[in-house]
Amino acid sequence: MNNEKVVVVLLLVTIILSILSVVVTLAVPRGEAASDNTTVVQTGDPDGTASVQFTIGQSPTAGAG
Amino acid sequence: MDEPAMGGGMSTGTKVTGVLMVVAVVAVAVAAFNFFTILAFKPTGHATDQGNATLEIESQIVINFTVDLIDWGIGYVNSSASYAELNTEGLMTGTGWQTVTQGLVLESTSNENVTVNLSSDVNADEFIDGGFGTGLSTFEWKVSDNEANSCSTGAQPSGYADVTTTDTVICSNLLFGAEGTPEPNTLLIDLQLNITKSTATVGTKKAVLTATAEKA
Repeated sequence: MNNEKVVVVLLLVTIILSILSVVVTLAVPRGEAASDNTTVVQTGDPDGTASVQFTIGQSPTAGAG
Repeated sequence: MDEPAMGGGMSTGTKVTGVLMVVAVVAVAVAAFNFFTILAFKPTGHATDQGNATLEIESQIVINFTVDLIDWGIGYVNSSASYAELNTEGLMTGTGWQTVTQGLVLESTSNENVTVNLSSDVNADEFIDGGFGTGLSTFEWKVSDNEANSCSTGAQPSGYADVTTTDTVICSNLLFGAEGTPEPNTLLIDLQLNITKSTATVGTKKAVLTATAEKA
């Protein structure tokens, strides 16, 4: 093998290794720190009602009340 | 035998080839070093990235009347009296009405302290005297801690005062707690009626009290 062919082979090896380096680098998954932004939505019940009641009956000796 | 003309014994083409050989060897060495370095360190990503984990819990405001009904039943003002008084502390001066010893109880199961407002859908005149605007009867409420220190700022009104049909703050800082627990998170709302014979009208009377809460 003459010198020219050796040079060509070496350059091809260089190119292949460079391509492999790029491929390996790109193949590594890019790590991303976990980022959770969770909102807990809770609905409240800010109202309450109560009833007050009574009945005014007819007095045996008078009218209303 | 013809020898190629060379300066120093080598032809120009051979020199160029030699230089290219050296360059190629160096390139191969650098590429190999780069490749095997990548393989050896096995990068796993951007280790210096930072993430924020945020948990946001919205306020939950929940109030509930655990005692939500006061019913004195049916009765009338004694013939010898001009009025009858009823309250939720055991007072009953008429005839027939039940004696009530328990007021309304309001509990906060929120997840933060709240301000509580209270209102009635009717005033004394509308509730007892038929709504003619000439009534003499009264309808009053009083608020206190049902469990000690529930209202850190003091429940109000501390004595009987006329109910209002607009929101009235009865506690500006009611503490919270789990439902049904002895934690200090409840208010006692006592009620008192003065049923004046001359203006009260016969019939069933009903008032609805509404409590609303907001973040203190």
